[in-house]
Amino acid sequence: MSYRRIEVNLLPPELQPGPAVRSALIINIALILITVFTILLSAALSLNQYAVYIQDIAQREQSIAGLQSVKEGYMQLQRIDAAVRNYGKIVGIASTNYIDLPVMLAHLSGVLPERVYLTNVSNVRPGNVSAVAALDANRPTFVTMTFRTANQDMNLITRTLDALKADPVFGNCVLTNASIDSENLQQLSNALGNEVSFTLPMENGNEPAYSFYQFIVRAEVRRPLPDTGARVITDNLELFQASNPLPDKAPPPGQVQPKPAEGGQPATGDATAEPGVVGGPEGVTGTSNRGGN
Amino acid sequence: MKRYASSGIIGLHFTQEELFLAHGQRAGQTFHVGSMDVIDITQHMLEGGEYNTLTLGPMIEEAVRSQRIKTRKAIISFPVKFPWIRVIDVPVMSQREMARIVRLEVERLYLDSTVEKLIDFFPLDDAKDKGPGGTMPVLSCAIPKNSVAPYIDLLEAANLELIGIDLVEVNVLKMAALQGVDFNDGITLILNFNTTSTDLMLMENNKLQLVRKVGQGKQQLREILNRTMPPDDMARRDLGNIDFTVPTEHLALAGEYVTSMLGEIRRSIEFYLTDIKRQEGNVSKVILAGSGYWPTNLPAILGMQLHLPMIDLKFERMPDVICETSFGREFPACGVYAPVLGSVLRGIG
Repeated sequence: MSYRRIEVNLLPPELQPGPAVRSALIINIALILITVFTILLSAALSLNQYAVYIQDIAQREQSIAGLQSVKEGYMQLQRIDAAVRNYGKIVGIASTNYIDLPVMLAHLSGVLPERVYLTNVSNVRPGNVSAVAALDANRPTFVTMTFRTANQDMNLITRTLDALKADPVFGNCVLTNASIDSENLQQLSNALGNEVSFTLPMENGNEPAYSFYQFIVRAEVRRPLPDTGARVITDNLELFQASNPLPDKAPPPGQVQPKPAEGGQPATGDATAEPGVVGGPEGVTGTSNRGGN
Repeated sequence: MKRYASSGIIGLHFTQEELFLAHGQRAGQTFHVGSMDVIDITQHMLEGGEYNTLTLGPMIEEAVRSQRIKTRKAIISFPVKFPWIRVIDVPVMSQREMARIVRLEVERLYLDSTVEKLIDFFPLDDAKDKGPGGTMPVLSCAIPKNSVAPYIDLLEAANLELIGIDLVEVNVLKMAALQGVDFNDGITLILNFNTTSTDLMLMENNKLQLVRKVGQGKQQLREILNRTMPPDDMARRDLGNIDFTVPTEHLALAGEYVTSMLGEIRRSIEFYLTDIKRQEGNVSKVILAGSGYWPTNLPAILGMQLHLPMIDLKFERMPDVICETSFGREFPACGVYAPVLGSVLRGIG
């Protein structure tokens, strides 16, 4: 029985202080409630954001699926562009209106008979090559070649036509024009310049002259290069490989063995200095000296 | 009980002549009590024995302000003519049921059943220590409600917040318990001196057995001394002081008071023994306290005829209570301030 702890309060009830407000407890409860509310609010916002993200992802996936065809078209165009960029040279070779002129000239040098000279060569249809047309390997290339004989000998025209027709590169060779022409030799002297001068005897009171045939042949270039020959451009273009493969296995620049050009003309020059052209004649370049378009 | 330890508690004990003031504040397990003061309020009493609220209220407010007390919360105690203080045994029950039982008991046995009463109780034992069907002692207290009204007005006029009303007798009993007094050593007599009365409390077997109020207080002793002391005695000038000491040669002048007081004590003990049907009882000690503890050598006066050990309350017996006092060694400050200290310690304890 303890009288030390006696607590008797006779204050009238109407004056009694209200229930003790445990502020610490209220503050703790408030903090807990605020914390829980914050967590719940964050969770709700996160869930809402998650749903929005899911919906956005679904929409984007749907949009991506819708753009798949565009993408495929774009990828196809990219592949085409890459093919055009990476194989521009081969595409050019394969194009309908493009001829690697030095290569063709080198080839012609082996085809043409003696005493016949090529004076002019050009494409039949000038114009830019479209990408689609460039990839159309079956479309033929037509060239117009102008020849000149050393003298007035009709057989030279015949032999030239026969040689072209016999060559696998050219086809549908047609003699479109032939004419007899003459050239004043004195004029030739003038053309050589002041350093060289000579005097030709007069013939019948006229200045000496000689006559020759000048004829034009239109031919279809079926392939840019012959199957055999010294001029090889390294290329892996599958369009040609599928139908009429190119001799594309050119040795590396360090291992190039010069071969004599077709027609008995020896290959001169350093092939290593001319990338892309192996065994070509002097002055023939692989890439920077192309004819045609 | 709500504690007011933050800014402390003001304790006020009213008598017909003085106002005892103290301020307590708790710091951890230590109780600091200071601002102990006694204020003469005789000039603020009206002819009918009532307080002049208009003048006493501001005076109390000024006294609190002068003591630099920050809190406005106050617990008061005052002499009640017919208090109810009993320890009753009730079965172990809930607080609500216990309150109902105590109220029924008070309504049944209180002297005047017509007045409205303020009742409170305090279980002296822990119900957990009691088994099912056991009983437990409950200290029940009650006072007439109309006795509180003047003090409520007074506190309001003093701009103080009344948070508790204590009984003087309970405060003194609590202070005696805090001093470690052994209530199992025979019959312990606690004398609570008031201005015009004295409360006799009999404790036996660690239980408050009897509370009785006798009409002998400080005022009666002072009138006796005033009447019997020689007119030319220099000590007469100090009769009004709270720390008055009766000269040794005049101790015998208080014989009339002591005789009367001993008669009351004897009758109270006999009543108690008769009530419990016992032939005799052994009073082991007497504890003196109360705001009417006057003069300072009251134990010597009572000791002329009462040959029993008399114990004063001492601050030194409460190590956890630090009291800032400036009283002389002979002044029984702890006993005199016991009513107001009981209120302060209850408020901050």
